[in-house]
Amino acid sequence: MNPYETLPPKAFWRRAVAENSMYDVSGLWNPKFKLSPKMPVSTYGSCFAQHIGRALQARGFNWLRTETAPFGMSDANRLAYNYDVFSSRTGNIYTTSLLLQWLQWAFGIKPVPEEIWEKGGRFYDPFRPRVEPDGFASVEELRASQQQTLKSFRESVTQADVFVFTLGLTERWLNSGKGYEYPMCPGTVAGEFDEAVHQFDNMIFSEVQKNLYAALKIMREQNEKLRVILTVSPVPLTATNSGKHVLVATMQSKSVLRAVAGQTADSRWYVDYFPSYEIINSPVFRGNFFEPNQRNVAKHGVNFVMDSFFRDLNARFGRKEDAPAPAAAKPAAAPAGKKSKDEVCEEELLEAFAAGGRK
Amino acid sequence: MKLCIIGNSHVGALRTAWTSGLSDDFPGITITCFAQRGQGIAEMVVAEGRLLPANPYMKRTVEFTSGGLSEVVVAAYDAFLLYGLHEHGQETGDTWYSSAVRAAALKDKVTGQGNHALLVKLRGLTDKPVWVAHDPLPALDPSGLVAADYDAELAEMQRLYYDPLQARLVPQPAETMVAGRATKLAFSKDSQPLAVGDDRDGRHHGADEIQHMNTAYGEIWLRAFLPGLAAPA
Repeated sequence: MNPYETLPPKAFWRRAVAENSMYDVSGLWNPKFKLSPKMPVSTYGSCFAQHIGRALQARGFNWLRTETAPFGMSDANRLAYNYDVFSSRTGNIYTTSLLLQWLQWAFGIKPVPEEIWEKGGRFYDPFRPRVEPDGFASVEELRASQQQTLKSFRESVTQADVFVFTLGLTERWLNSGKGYEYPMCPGTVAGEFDEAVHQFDNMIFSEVQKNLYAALKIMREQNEKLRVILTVSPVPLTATNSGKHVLVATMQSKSVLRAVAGQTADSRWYVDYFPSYEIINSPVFRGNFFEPNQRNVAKHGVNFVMDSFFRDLNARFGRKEDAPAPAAAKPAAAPAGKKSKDEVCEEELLEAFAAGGRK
Repeated sequence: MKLCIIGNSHVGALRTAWTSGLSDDFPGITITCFAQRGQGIAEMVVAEGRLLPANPYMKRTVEFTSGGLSEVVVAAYDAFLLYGLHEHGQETGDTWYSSAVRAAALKDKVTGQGNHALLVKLRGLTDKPVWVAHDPLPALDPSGLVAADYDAELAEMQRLYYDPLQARLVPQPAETMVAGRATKLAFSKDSQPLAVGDDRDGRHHGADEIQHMNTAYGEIWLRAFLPGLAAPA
């Protein structure tokens, strides 16, 4: 008798994977805690994180949004103005250090930097450069909007039962003199790049981990009942400034994020890890969930990920009677085979800076 | 004065009020209604000098509500009222919005509505006076309602979106409203679906109905509106 003799089928590659159709590979996630339809869930992170909130809502779960659009605003304008993208209008939070920075600002641990970008008489928030497509009318408007989002972000932490965060990048841009982080390299979406001020950094495992642990500490201090689900974005980098080939840089970055997420979940009872990264990227799935550019995740890939999320949740805890079955859920986004048009992804703008421009 | 009313189920309250005796008080006015439950009537099709039903169901309901007419012949009327097909509301929280967000939302609130689509179609056919009115505000318990600046928002809609189309936005009568964002609860009591010649005709909405208003509401609305009909839109 040895330990392998009593392991379940999922522990063996042949039975769990090789002998199955890829669409029948299941049970990848064993949720640590229950997620019932009434529990408020906040969602933040990289571009891929946007699908999670919408999928929750489409299945009758309580996607918490603490900064909502005005009455009557169309779906197109909600997207353009970054409403209903995440729980509040933070824009993409790609790194664990950006998450920590938002938490430090929202809970008064650090002040929000004074920096503002101006172009053509309009004013842009360096920390949410695309939150308003044409910038703000005045500095006062920008400041008021920052305060609203900080309040809403704060509420999305304190009012949530579950906080879902999707880790996206390790590469980041810092203000070297003042130490704060930009979500996008200055000079890309807005602002002007100054090599004397703007400093590239590619975080290593320990930095990503340290920032995530610090973020979790703040969140749990503010909301002791909060549970956290981590995911890693399966979407490759649009561009890297690391000097490496973008494919290699992508694998390094994702490997670091995956390792941090896994180790964090393994070491904290209130943190879980959902394997969206594996579902899209594992060779088992043969790249089927990507669009032809091998970067964007196709709608059917997003659906497969989210179906897996709810199937594993139901398998572990059973379906709540008041939760609509996935089959009855409204489609969350674009038709099958098309990239979701309802995705706000600032990082993709980097493609425009490739030699020859965007194709 | 021959008034043509085109709209959704909310036309029912006006029509019932008019045929229940109100017409006697306005002998110089005739009203013809072309209505359908839901938002579908905004899909009416433009033809030369006419608005035509977009499908057989619309044709049946239009014929029933108009008393046998299957199309809106624009030349047959002196003025038009596009009633309903426009959900009006204002946010209730204290969320701060930028001027660009507010402007975008206001535009969506007008141009995303069925009655605006119908107005654009109608303006392609005639320069005659056109009035536009939103669905009744929902009937809500007034306790705890935060006041909305109803008049200011309608004025802004008028200036930006209805003036260019030479149409006049008609406000809900003040005596029916609470806090600029709701209709008094009494007006939703005993409301009925728009009669279109099917088995729901004559029934009442349930006690929890908050969207549709009763004949008393229809009478107040028309009494507020009709005296101004002679004024330019």
